[in-house]
Amino acid sequence: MISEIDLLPYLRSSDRSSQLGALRSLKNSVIGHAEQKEWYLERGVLDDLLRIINAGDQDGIHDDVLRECMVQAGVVLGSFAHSDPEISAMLHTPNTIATLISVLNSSSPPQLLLPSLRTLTSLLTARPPSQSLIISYPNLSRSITSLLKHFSGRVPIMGIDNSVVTSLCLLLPVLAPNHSNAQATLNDALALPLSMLVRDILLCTPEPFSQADTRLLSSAILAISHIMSPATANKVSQAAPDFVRLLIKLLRTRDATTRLAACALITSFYSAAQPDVIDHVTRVPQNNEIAILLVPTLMKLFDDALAVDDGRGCNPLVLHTLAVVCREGGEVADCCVEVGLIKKVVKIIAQVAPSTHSALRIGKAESRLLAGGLLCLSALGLHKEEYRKAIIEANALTVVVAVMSTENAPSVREIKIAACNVLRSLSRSVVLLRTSLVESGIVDGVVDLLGDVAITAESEPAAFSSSMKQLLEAASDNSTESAPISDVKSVTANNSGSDSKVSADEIENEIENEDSLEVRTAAMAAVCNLVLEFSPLRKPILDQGILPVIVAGARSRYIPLRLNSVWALKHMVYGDDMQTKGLVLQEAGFPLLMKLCNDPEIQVQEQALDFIRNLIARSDNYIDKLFDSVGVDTLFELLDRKLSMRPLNTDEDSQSDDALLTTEPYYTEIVVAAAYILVHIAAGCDHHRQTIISHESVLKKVITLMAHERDEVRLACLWIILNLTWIEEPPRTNSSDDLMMAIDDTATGSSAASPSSTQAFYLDVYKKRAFTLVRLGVRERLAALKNDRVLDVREKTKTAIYQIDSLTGEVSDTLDTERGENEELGVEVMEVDSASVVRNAYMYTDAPASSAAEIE
Amino acid sequence: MMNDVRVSKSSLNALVMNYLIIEGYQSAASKFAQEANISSSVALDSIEDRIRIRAAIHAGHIPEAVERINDLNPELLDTNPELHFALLRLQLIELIRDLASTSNDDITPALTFAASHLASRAQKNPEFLADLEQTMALLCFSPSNLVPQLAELMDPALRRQVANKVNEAILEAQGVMREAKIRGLVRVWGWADNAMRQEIGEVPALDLKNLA
Repeated sequence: MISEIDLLPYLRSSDRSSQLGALRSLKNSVIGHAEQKEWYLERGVLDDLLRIINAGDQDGIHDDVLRECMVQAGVVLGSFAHSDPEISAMLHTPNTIATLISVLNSSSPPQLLLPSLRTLTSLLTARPPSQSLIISYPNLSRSITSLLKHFSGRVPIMGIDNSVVTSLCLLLPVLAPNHSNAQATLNDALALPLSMLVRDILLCTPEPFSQADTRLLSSAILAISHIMSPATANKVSQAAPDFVRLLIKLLRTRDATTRLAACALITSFYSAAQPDVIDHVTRVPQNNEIAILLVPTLMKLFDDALAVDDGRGCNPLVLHTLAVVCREGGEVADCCVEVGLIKKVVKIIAQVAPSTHSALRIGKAESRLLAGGLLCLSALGLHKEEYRKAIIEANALTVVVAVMSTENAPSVREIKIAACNVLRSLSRSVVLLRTSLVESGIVDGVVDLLGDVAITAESEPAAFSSSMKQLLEAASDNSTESAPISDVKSVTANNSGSDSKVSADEIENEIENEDSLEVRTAAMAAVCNLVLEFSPLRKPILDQGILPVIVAGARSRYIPLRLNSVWALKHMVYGDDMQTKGLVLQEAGFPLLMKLCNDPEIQVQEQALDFIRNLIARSDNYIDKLFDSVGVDTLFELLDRKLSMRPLNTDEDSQSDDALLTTEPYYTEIVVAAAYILVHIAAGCDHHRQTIISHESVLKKVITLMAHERDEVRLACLWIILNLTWIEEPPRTNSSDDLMMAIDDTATGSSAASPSSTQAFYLDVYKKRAFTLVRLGVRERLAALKNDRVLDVREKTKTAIYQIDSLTGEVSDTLDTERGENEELGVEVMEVDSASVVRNAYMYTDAPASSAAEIE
Repeated sequence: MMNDVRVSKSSLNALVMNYLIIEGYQSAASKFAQEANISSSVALDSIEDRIRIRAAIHAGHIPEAVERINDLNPELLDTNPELHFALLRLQLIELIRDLASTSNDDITPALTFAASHLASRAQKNPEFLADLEQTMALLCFSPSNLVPQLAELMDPALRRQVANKVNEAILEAQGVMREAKIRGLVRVWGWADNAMRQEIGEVPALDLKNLA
């Protein structure tokens, strides 16, 4: 054995053979010996090893001795990576990473690839890079694809090839952190071939699997579930319809990691199917059927972990997967709660929760476990009041408060997001909002998470005012151009990756900030319900000056944050608190709102339209403000467009009326939101109603939409008709009203109109409106709705027919018995209805339920 | 009765192949694989490596065994500190044995080795410490006159035990079961045999020695 001190000169020798000898000795003296590793690293052996590994580039690796030198150097490097964190941290240099990546090509011998892959995985796990290597090394994803192809050519995969593919799969999750562009890139390149590989192995290998195959399967399945996007999930299902069935068979395999991996992948398969399924009715039962299969497997894994050390060693993925499974509620969530999921989760998280305010005390594994547990609770709390109560009773709120009051640090980011989600779920309960949540003292925690934004916003005042100017210009541009309509799928599947207009710089910024943006987004979601009018926390939160922060969030380029911020704003203008409405409007301003109404992201549009809907509800004042600030024509042009909103690719027959009658999910919500803005305008002063009547193209669309396939749309349109034909006594007008002046002019020369002549005049106006509606075909539509399958629609139809008939003098056959009664009675009936007009049209939306799936 | 149970040819072949690979009969395994037309997920050449490693340990050549282990699987000793400790302790025992056989009174080589390779490990792990202390006691007594506990350490059985551990660890890392499946079957047989004897009384005897 060459003495240890003597090795370095040999390593640096130009004679490859003596170099090889030195490398072998070095290998044997460092493997398993921590002191030797430290000793050599301190003497700069890392550079020597990297130089040897890199030598292949110049000399080519046809030289056998050099090839063996490279292998041995790679092995030594791999051994260094297997040591105490302080020692392996010395390896973490840009040169090491670059060298290891350069090795990853199919001309490298597998004996070199194997240690290189493992070293890379352990370095990246110990210290995740600020930016994924997939982005920093544009060729990396292609190299990985070709490696996979090269080593998995023939199934079964044997010997060292098997190990290389397994190591490759283990590397993928660390290369692509959650919600990143890296994930999308890898998904495009690898999800399909990896799925096919897993399928081939499952089809041609009889159980029981060898340990090597088990490891390969579990790592490959975990890698797929990590990078899988909804679009690819559908591609895989098409290419291999039996794939999910094969995975379901794995739920009973012997190896626990494989069972868990199968659960995770099946989950991402069926949750991926959601955005593309059009038929709302069949969606949920189908999911339940698959999800319910996973419950016994997942709960068994969970119970096994609890049995060992009270669950501290539980794989966080068990909890993360349970959270996804429960997110849809229904039978699956019921089953999980029945077997004690809530109590078991709280038992675990209470152990690992931070006891002091310092974030430093939480380990990585514990923080993932804690986050997983909190996500489970938030998923269960989304749906049932009963579960929310159970969560509170299990004392989960102490953990949430403890997490929220931990000082902000990157290590607790994930936990804080999860805690915000729990808050959001719990705040759906009005009872809890007024009791437990008030007492918990969470306000500071939430505001603190949002507070980061306030600091950022203040540090860039110049940028803000200039962007404000741009917004104003953009808003006026938009009003004259056709609406930018987005393809929802591309936005939800891939937040910013495919947007060619976004410069590389901006993408980089986005990635850098993505972490903190995620936290803000989650905090914003928690704020949503806390700022509702009836929440006792609204005032304390607003008192902390949070409004500008929310408005800043509504300007964010990060879609989920923008969505939740607009959502929060929408909730703030819900209700009768005119003072808050005024404050919010002052801070946000109509230009921003108009921009948001035309946002590329359709769900943001929905929230912005709902904001307007809430703002003008029961407030003539705000209808006027809307008209004055935005302009009547601009507004109606906007509403006109929203009523016929559809995805770009179905544009061809948008001219025909029939094309309006079916809309895809999300687009329906837009139509409904726009229709309810009209409902509220129609419930305003007389001149507000007159404005609607004078925009016939909008009216025509409303009447066409009365035959829409979705009852929400039909009902909204009926409300518009009802409000437009309702005889209000006395008419609500204001002094500057055009109609009022018209009366002045026409009322037989007298300077002021007499009450009776005013009344007669208005009756004429009402009649004229009714005739306009009749001319546009409302009667035919109403006749068809008399037999609607929805009771509410049928009832409103009767009232609408009655109102129109009494104005146009037609004989109504629906309200035959009431015909001939005096006018007062009719008015009375309608007054009752009018009250419910206001009540019904009054917009209240729960927390971001539909978007929750997208955000998480 | 046994004739009623149908065992497929391929299952039997797999069982035999499994035994040959795990127990390290390389040439028999490759012949058998050819004749029975079966493939194995373990490279057959690694069988020979395992045999050499086992032979080196049986012969007390621990550094050679370690080098071979590192060639075959460089991760094994890094990821398996207990195994590495067992090998290093065996190496220490071999050093002591050499000293005793040459009737050399200089125990410095053994002390140096223990200090540089074993002491720091023992500090971190109480089990290692106990093992090391016991081993160091060998230096104090004459090899011909040892208490049974210490005599065990000098017994060749310890080499076999460590060699077995190494073999199992290599197999496990290669993704093969640690033990031949047939051994498990034999244990099940033994258990069933016992159970039947208690229930029925008269059953043909099974002798494990005849099988192993």
